[in-house]
Amino acid sequence: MQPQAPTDAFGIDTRALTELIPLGAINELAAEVVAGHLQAILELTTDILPAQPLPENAFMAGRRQYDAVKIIEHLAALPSLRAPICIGLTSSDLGTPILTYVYGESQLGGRVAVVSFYRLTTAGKEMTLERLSKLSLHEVGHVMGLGHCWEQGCLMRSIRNIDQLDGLNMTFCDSCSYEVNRRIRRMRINSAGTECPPGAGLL
Amino acid sequence: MTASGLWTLVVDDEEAICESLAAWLTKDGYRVVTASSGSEALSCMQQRLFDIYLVDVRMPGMDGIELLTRIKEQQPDAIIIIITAHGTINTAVDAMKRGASDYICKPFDPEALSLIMERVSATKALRDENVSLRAQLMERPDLGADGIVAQSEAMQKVFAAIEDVAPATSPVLIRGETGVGKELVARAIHMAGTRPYGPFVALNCGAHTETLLESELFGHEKGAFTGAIKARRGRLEMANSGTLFLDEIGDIPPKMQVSLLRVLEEKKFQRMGGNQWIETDFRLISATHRDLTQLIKEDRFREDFFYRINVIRIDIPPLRERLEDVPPLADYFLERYSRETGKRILGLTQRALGMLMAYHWPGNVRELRNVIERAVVLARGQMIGAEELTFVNTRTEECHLGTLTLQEAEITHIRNALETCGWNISQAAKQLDIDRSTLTRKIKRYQLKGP
Repeated sequence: MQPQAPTDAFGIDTRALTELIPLGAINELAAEVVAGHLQAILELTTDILPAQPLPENAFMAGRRQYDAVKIIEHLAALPSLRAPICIGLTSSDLGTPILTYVYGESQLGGRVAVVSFYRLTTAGKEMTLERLSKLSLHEVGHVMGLGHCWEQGCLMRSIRNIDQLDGLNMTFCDSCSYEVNRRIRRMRINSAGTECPPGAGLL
Repeated sequence: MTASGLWTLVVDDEEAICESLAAWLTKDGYRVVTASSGSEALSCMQQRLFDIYLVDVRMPGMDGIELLTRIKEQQPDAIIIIITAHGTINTAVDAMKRGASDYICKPFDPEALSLIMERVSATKALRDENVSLRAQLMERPDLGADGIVAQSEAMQKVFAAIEDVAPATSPVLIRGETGVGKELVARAIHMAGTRPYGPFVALNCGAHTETLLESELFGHEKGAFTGAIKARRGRLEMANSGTLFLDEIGDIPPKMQVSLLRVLEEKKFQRMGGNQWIETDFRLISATHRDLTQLIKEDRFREDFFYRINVIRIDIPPLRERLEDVPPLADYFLERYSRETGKRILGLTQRALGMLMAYHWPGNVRELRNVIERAVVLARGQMIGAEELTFVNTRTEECHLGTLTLQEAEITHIRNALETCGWNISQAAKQLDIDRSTLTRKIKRYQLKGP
């Protein structure tokens, strides 16, 4: 028999499709704003999990940065994860073995992403939170399997610098929107069970 | 600029680097394959050739430089970006000399990596477009070497000569009357040669005063002469790695011939007012409508310069000596100007074509082009008739019938009409506006014989 998904009094599925994990000390408001945007733009029900320390093995001492790839590996291996999408939020600077810095990183068509607001804090608190939300939505798009888009203003456009990030709208273009929503619908169907395997949203 | 699925091979012995780079490129739309060594990269190339190669310099076994050489052997136009660490910049410079497109130090600044990838993708797109446009051009059966319209035997010999001389780098002298298409032949040699992706720089030497010509050719430094308000590159410099086409070379003053001769010998020169030697390596193609040997006799052209530029000579026959090229040329220009003007012109009437065939064409193909362009502009119907060609004055002394007797002119005109109509007597009679029986009688009287 198919396990029943938890529902509210109106029969709406209340199970979170996204889990936000603050990594290290971050402003609580930041996680709430990101969760709000995921809910509003993509209708992704989101839980904010208790904060966790950044994995020590991800620290690149020579560069004073955390390796985003290792953080993703760490999060993906957490046994407590339940939702099909997991986003780590950090205020530390991120890089990868090959790139001097990244604003965020994600598993293309996978389950986990990590976003940092270390380099986003140049224009006041509100702007920082807006940038963080855009980046989180962008990385969720990658987790859903979407590549970069060349449509002007689309959230999936490649982000090379802060000016380009600020130039994006808080929406996906028509084709990315169609694709990301199609995959989220499919993910809902696939994740009818209580636990979601990695890549459950990928089709 | 979209990556639009360009196949990319990342070669690095560090797995983390390969994976990280592959993930980044995949998000940007590249199709990525990774290899952990030079030999693995070469075996990947057995499966398919890639559009872009990202190759680490330091790898155990075959290093990046050796791999670069091996890739270039198999795929000379491969785009290769060398990945280096900060300590191996000299190696990267060496790689650039061996044909790498660019190099990048790891770890990369993401913006720098994006810029490099965008640039090489754009280069690839331009190359592909160039190849496709050339292929489209070659698909036209009546177009010979790179867009020259001709069917005559005389021009087939010119095409054969172009094919023969193109792979060499020796100077070529093209001789032909004005308007025969000397620049087109020069371009064809350039495109069929060993450096088609290099620049083709053309200069009409007859169109400039001596000082201006020198400045055009050699360039000048700021303040070299009155009006030289900023430094300027000359055509010799621009033509580096490509072809320099000097039209009307007979108009170059003897003093400048000496300077040019020196450039050809030493492959370096100085800008006007400059003292730095600039190296340049180009293929020289010259053209003239004049008899250079006559100019040498008159001491207006240097003999040593003549022998230097006249290593290979191609003569382009005038249009009047290859009248069979007139119909395909007329059709080509008709189609071109119909498209440009938006008029729907189906073709030329037999009578109009007969008039074109009977003309002397002192201005050669250029004159024919102008005649057709004007005819298309003036045309009211769907066919270009004799009335639209009235400006082609076949009764002037320019007409090759001018020196003939009336009877000889009649014979030539009838023969032309018959040949134009493929010896269909009814059609030829219609074109000549006489009865069929009259034409038959004249054919008999003048003993004209068909093919």
